[in-house]
Amino acid sequence: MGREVLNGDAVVHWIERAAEVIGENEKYLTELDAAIGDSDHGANMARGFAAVRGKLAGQTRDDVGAILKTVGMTLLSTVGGASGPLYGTLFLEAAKVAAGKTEIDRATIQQSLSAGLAGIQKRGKAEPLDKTMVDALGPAIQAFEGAAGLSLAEALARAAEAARQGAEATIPLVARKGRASYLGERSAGHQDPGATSMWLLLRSLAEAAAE
Amino acid sequence: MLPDTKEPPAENPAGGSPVPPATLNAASMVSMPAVPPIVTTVPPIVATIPPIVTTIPPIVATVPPIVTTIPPIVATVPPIVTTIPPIVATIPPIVAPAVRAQRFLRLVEGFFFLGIGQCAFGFAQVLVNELRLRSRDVRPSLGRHRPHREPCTKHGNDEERANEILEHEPPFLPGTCGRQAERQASPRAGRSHGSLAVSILRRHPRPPPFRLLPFPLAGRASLSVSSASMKKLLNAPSDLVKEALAGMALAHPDLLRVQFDPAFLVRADAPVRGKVSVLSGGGSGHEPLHGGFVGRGMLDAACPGAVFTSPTPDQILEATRAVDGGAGVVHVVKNYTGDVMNFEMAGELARDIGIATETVLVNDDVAVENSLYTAGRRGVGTTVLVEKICGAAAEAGRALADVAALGRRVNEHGRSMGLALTPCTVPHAGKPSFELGPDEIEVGIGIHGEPGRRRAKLEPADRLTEMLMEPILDDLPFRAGKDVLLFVNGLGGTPLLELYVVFRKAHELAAARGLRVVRSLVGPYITSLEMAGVSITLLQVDDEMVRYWDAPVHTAALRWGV
Ligand SMILES: Nc1ncnc2c1ncn2[C@@H]1O[C@H](COP(=O)(O)OP(=O)(O)OP(=O)(O)O)[C@@H](O)[C@H]1O
Ligand SMILES: [Mg+2]
Repeated sequence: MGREVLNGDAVVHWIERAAEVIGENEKYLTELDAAIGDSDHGANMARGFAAVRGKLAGQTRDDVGAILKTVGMTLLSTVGGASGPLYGTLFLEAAKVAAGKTEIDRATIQQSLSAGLAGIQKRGKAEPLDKTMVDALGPAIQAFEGAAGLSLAEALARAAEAARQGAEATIPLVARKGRASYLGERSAGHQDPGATSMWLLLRSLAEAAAE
Repeated sequence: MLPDTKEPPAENPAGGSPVPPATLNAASMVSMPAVPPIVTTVPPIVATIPPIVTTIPPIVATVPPIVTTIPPIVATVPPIVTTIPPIVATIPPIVAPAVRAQRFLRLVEGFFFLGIGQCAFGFAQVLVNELRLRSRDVRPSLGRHRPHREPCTKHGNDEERANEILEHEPPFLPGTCGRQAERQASPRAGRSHGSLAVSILRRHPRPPPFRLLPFPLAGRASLSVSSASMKKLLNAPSDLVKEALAGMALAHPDLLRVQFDPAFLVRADAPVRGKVSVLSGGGSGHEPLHGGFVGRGMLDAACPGAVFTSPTPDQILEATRAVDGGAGVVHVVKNYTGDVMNFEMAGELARDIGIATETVLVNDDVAVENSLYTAGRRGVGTTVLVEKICGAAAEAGRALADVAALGRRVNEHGRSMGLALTPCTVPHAGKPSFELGPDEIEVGIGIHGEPGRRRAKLEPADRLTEMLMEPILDDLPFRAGKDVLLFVNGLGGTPLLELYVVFRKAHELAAARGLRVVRSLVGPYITSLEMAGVSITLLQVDDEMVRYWDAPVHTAALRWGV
């Protein structure tokens, strides 16, 4: 069925689902990173999300902003690498938007994701098509905006699908940001690991909303 | 197949494992397999099986010296070579009766004919297989059949699945995407498994040239996915950094202290009141950088991240707080996106609690050519020199802004480039981050096992040295008549013996451009786990830099003047 707002339980469920999926795909993400980076993205993300899961276990769930802040701070202090500050920023910016709210509706979700994207771009200075996680999150937000007539779950599923396509579309790109950029032309032909983990995160969100 | 069972995540992912180079190299020993006896002639009556001689080759332990050349008169300290004489174990000849010898002969004969038979069969197999392969379309499947990139949520480790398929099923065409392979292998498999596609495609980007494959793996040899095993002194990968840090603390209590949760190292007498502190950090796996440089005259603190992963802001903040003596803290940061962002956030947090920080960004790697379209040049060898010179300036009582300005000047005048002879294996990944053929090298390598700018053929050391020195010398800022510090760095798996060969040629090339090598450093100081390879750093020095370079330093990895 699905719901039109996400409460604290749903948000925690989302993060737990994401932790699970990222754990399952640790090797896959690391393999993508081995091709154009330094073989650590899967390990970084799995370590971070496992820590987040532990942190959330003892957290009250009446403030979505507080939950997102815990997620952001934990990722910041456990992921490391480039993706740590970036995913940390995503959640911390989203937390600011959702601060004090017991549940978040469509508009808040929209604003949270947009604030998160802005934070990532401010911190990492990546533009679209630089072959980064921005290439998954950007299209996802656009798709979410464009799915006004659909239910929340359907709109998030659209967003996740756009993120998947965005991640796949990084394959032919030459990286201009992050470690992959050192490879120059040789970075083309490989999918960006950060864009892929971003898609997994958004897919988990869509799944959590559909339940 | 079940999803991967994962290592439980580290309590605290960050830690550091600087190990002084001496410890690393002294342990490397060479041993060669004994040559088995070959029985050729058996005399008619008395059969004498020749003696079996097992020769254990000499074990040579080379303890790498810490070499600092103090020009112009004092020469370099020679390496200390401890040679343990060869141990030769001789087993006396066994004389067997004639009957046994005859039986033995017959057995040999039997094996011989069996061998010929198998060979013939093997070749037949090879031919049939090759013909089968050639008769089908062997283009890489990317264009025709775009593999699905959806990672498999069911089979966490698709590498294993790929192995399984390739192990039990008839050979697939090189370039067969994972989905096709899976379909062919098990028609019941419904879903596509994208990462499987990735692993097979990456290994077999195009069909191999027509050639006969070695017996007896004929048909499969070109297609099997080899899983290179990792050989490391490890307990659990997730404990590696933490355990190495604990070892460091025990080995050098006079020099440093180690803190956990979050993990960092500080010099034993930190914080030093009124002194500017110098802090650096980065992923582990580059030891002795940075923890091996903590001590008097160099770093006040080091923040080690997980292997090849930058440390986190909370870690950097705590270390900054622990060493601040009231005069501010200089952060020496290698230019990698992750390090830059984590240090940036830590700097903001430090400012919030009233600690003044300055950042010296090191970006000296000339292998990264087009800095407009990249994240900028990477920080490599010059980092060691910045840390030494800034550390000495801070020790001499210079102010925060001065120490930072000096560090930036060192960075501006330093250039580096490296090459890899072998890849390295990140413990968590469990297999090399790229593959190199027996005669291939990776030119323009960084220090994280990431592939470099191009592949090249292995050539003599002098030619390889030219390959590194030319881009360095062609870059700014080297001018004839200037003084330079020449730093030849081992990437972890290359012996000092070879580094000196490179040093010799690099010195010659610098001299040919009219540069005077007035200081030198040779050894593994900024490494990439067990990677074999070398990097060269050239720093154009001025009097102030030389003065601070010569100043006393006492750390686990660098020590002179005290
Ligand atoms: N400037 C940036 N802006 C946005 N995303 C980025 C940027 N730099 C890197 N990324 C993303 O981060 C991913 C890599 O993350 P990972 O966890 O592997 O860190 P890393 O690059 O290895 O960090 P480090 O350099 O510290 O080792 C890339 O795939 C990319 O999507
Ligand atoms: Mg990486």
